[in-house]
Amino acid sequence: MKVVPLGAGQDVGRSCVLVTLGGKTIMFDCGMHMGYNDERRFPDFNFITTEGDFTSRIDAVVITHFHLDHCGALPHFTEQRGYHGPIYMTPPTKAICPILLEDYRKITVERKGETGFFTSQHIKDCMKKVVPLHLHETVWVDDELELRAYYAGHVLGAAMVYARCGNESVVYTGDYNMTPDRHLGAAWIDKVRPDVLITETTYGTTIRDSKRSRERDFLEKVHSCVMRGGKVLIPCFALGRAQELCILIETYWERMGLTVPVYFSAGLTEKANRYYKLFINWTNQKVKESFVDRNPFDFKYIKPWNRDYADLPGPMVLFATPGMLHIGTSLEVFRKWAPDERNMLIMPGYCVAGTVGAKVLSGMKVVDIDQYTQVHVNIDVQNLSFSAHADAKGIMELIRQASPRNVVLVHGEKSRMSYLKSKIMGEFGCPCYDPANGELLEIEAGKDMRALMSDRLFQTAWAQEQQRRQELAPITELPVKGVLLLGDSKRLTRLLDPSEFDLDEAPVVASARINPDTQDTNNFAAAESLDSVAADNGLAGSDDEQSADIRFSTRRVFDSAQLSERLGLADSANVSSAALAAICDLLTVDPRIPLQTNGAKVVRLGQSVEISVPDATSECELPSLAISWCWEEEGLATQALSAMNRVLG
Amino acid sequence: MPRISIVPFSPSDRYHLLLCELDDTMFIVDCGWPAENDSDDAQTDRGKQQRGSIGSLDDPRDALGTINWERVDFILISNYEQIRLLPYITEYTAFSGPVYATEPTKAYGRCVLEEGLSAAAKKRYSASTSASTSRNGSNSSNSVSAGNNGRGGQSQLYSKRDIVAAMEKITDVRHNETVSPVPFVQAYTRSSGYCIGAGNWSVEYKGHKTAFISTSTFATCLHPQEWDGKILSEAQAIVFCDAVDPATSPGNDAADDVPTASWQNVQVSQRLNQLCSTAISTLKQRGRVLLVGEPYGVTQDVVQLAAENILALNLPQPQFIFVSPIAERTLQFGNIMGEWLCEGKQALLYLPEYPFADKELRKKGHLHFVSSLADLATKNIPQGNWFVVIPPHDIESIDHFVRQWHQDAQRCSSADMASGTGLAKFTVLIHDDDAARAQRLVNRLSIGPEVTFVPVARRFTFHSIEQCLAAAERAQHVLVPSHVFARLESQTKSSEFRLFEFSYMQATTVDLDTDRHLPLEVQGEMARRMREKGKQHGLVEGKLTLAAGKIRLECLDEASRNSEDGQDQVAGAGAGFRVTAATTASTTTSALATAPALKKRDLDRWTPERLAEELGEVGLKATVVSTPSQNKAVRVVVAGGSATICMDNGNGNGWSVDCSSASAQWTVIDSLRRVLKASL
Repeated sequence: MKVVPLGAGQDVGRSCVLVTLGGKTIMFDCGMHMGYNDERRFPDFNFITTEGDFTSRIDAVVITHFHLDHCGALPHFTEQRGYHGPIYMTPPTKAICPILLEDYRKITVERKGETGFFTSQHIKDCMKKVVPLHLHETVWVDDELELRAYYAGHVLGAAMVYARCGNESVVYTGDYNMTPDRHLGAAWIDKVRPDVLITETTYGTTIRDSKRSRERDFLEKVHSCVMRGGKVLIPCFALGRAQELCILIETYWERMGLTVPVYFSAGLTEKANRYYKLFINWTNQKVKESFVDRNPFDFKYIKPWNRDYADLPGPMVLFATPGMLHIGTSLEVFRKWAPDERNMLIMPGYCVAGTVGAKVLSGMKVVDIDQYTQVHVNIDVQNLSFSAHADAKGIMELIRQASPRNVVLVHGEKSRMSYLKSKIMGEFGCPCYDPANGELLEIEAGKDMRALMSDRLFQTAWAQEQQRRQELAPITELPVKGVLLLGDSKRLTRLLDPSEFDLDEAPVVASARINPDTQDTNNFAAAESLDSVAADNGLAGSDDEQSADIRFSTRRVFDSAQLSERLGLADSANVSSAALAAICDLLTVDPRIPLQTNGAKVVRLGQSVEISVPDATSECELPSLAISWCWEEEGLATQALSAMNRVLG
Repeated sequence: MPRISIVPFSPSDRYHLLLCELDDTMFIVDCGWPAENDSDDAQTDRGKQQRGSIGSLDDPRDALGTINWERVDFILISNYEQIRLLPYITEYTAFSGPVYATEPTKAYGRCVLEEGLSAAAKKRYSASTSASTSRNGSNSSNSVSAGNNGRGGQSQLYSKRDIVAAMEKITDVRHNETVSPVPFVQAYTRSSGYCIGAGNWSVEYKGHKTAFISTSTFATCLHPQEWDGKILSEAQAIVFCDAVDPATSPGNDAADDVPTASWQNVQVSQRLNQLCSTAISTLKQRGRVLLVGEPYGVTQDVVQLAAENILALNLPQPQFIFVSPIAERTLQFGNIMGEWLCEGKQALLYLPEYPFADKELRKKGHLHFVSSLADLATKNIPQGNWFVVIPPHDIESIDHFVRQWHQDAQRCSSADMASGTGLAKFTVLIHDDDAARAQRLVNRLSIGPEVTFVPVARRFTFHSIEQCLAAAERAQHVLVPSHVFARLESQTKSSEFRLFEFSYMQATTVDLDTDRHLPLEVQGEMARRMREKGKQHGLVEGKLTLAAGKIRLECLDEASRNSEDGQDQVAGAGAGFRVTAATTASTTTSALATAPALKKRDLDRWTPERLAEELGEVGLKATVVSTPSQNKAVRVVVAGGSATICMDNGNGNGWSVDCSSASAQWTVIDSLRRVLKASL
């Protein structure tokens, strides 16, 4: 299995991970980097192929959620680079993604005047190719490749994706959040045991305090600022964090009876909130339950923003896009409000290195906004991490849930990853990698084999386990003991109950060479009786202590008519002797088996293994062959047994 | 050979409750039961016929009492109409397994049940008050009050709280999501097209899929997600739980001739249009419309169509009034479950637009919800042309409106009539596809020309089943209700599958001829090690883990195993699992000698009794016997054979183990080795 991060390898931004499993290639996410304005903005698709024929190289593209660092390069990839294969997204992602793309495109093209960027039409065409992927539903990309989405809780419609092809499987988490928040539930995944788990590590080293205290902190800060007459600027994505904070502010305003105006920038507000109303199923249980009485996304206190309001005196709260202050309304307002120390800037999310947001957060007092503008930052800068990423505890929890065999870390800073890496390897004892962009990672998947298990074996084990258990807890594990029969190209591997196992089913081993030169056919004069053989062997290893032995003997009954037909014997021939001869022939194939044939009645192998034609007078009248061996030569005996079974059928 | 047996428990052809048994696994498909008001005065014909032989059908407890609920492993629910007995089952029987249904089924199901409960309560109330006064000559009130006095009606099976509790127990699934209620059985649903969230379950057992086709439709002009035919092509056995009984179905005499799926679609859409145009023409004449229908399902389509037409024709917007305690919720659910709707409506999600018109109507104040007539009096709803929706069981409210509007029409002056200003005209629309129920309703109301009865029949007829069977590529066994069987039998003689009928309370058993093997995943490590040793087969010991619907064989951890059975294991099993015996590969003799040398004194310590006891401890059936030569021996009986362990083989220096078959020897040798090792 191969994993190549095209973006987000030891970095945050432009997530794009290429995974080849079972001969199929999936591209997980296709994001852009906010910190760059040149070609580094997009993942380097040249790693896939330089010839530009992406459709034949990639079987499916899966987008986990609508953030631009996960879907931003998609129209570029499909429309400008010519990928025409299927694209999978959850319905909310499919709905919201084009809006954010369009929003971003407008800013880049229309305000910054860039050329060569994808167009509105590109976005629309791209979205037409999207196939909706519902939670937990098994989607077959083709006959072999299977996809399944799990709830990720990061933003509305965020999903973790499990993909399987043949014996190899992978889970790509995208961004996820293991603690439920105001409007979304927590991420959850089945114990799918993927060969590789590719997880984000944005907050891989931090363990965050409780969400509630952060919320209180946030509200107190906003409140204190508006009380002193300041303006609060909260840059955030139009969708996602914004809705959560809006719900927070809304309930607080209602409870405290505040009248300070709250605005939401970007014309998206109404539209964005409508998506939340339509896809309320993807939020958490609490929101879902209350929606009949009042949809929590019908905001009462929050009004749309007008550019002129920025210059109005008096306190106000503004949610402005985008979240990293790199462009657009939030940057524009920041320029106006930054010099006033009464004002407050609350950064609720993560800022990519290189953006104004990151510079401000790092404590720079003078920030270059563009070539011509410098801003003095006197504004009170607060960083409250509302970013819905899993923290170290959450990441470990997810790994525990999914029980992968290998872990690959992406979407995080290198320094943080190495810490997490050692922690994961220490705790789970599974290999952990943090590949850089473009670094090919080949993982030998500890392949699970597909097999069939005999029903009898399972039922027995199940019944035993049920008896053993006192409490009524569901059975998730049970011990089992059976014969594993490896398969070949024709047959699947099977696990059988010992009683069902017939050695004849064992395929002929390929390594058995035919070597006629070493056939040794030592003839012994007379057949020795079983007892004397046993006695000989018993005495053979006598040292100080007398060694003892356990002698096993088994009878193998066979159908003489059928056998004689198979061997092509004449009617008068002694079937048992012929069978013995045939077995003998089979065994002589292997030169390392010491073989002696004593007449037509007995074949001896090694020290003690003996196949013989029993006297017809013994208790069983059916034609049979007897085999006996000593404890020590069991291996040889089983070999003889298998040969016997092959002959006797 | 695995076998499936099916017992239908519901007397109705519309609601089903099937008890299925797949070898040892028992499960229920659907928990439908006719609502009390359906069943009390007109049992379906079949029900009546069998009533005598089976006993009272009024009380489903009689039927359900015959099921051993402790043994039922899980319940599958197809759609929200097939849920009526679920609260009783989860709350008042010994059933404790999981219940699976789609999310809309769960959400709507709760509404449907609560509605049924309140309707029954109302009915009981009115019955008890009217019991002393006039009776309409029908026996309906008789049977209800009898039910009250006697064993209690069906409505008393559970309370509202039980409904909530039952819904909590439902695990919600998506279509095509595979669930594994018991480790060797997997199930998933595919859309059936009948109502929102409706699905058909397919149960997979040992690579053998059995599809349960519950209420389904081919019609694509309605709001639910379309019928997904893959369910049929994948299944080896198909059970048609539901089909319109030709004897009771209304007005589908035409259906006998034209059996195509598109035809059904055309028919449904025609009927919808007919309903809608009747409504529109009434509204055009400033009349009022009364739509009799539950506030979900087809009603939503009719209202939607009417609202769209009103907008398109620029008619004055009527007031839409839903008289039902649950209407507000069901309509709201429609707007948040966009992913469960048909393609056209799903596309709206991405615009984003609300899939139903009610959101817009509500915003403009044209949509009103009242829980009952009494509630209507307290609401201030603008007079004028009304579009009222009342569920069919609420006969009193319907009656009230009809009488009121009759009076209005009579009071209306001829001038008003001519100018169309008064409220002269009204229409009652009934779309119920249950003709008997509709007929009862009409009888009760004693109204004539105002009623438009257009049954939107969308359930499968036997023609649909025929068509389904054409698509069932892998079907080997097909089970159909007996009333369909007769008609199908003659036409499917040449087919590849065998046709079975099932009928009420009769068990039908079908043998499924498939491989009795379960799919399994084996830890690659195990196989790799065996290959390294050049082995093709070997006795392995491990643990099976059952998770996410998969069975996986894993090596036992050395540590955990030691703590479990406290025994040291065979040398050379360093990785924690054992591969012993059985090599067919070429290995040297020395390599084969894995068993440690035994010393005489080791063996001398054993007595037959002790050996038998120890072997018994490792799970073998061992007894001490005497051999003909008066020596003590231990006889071990295992599956597939027996073995005799002779403790003295005659010359005083060893034992001899005589096995009757090769299969027995595996178990015996292995156990013996373990016992001996432990003692060394």
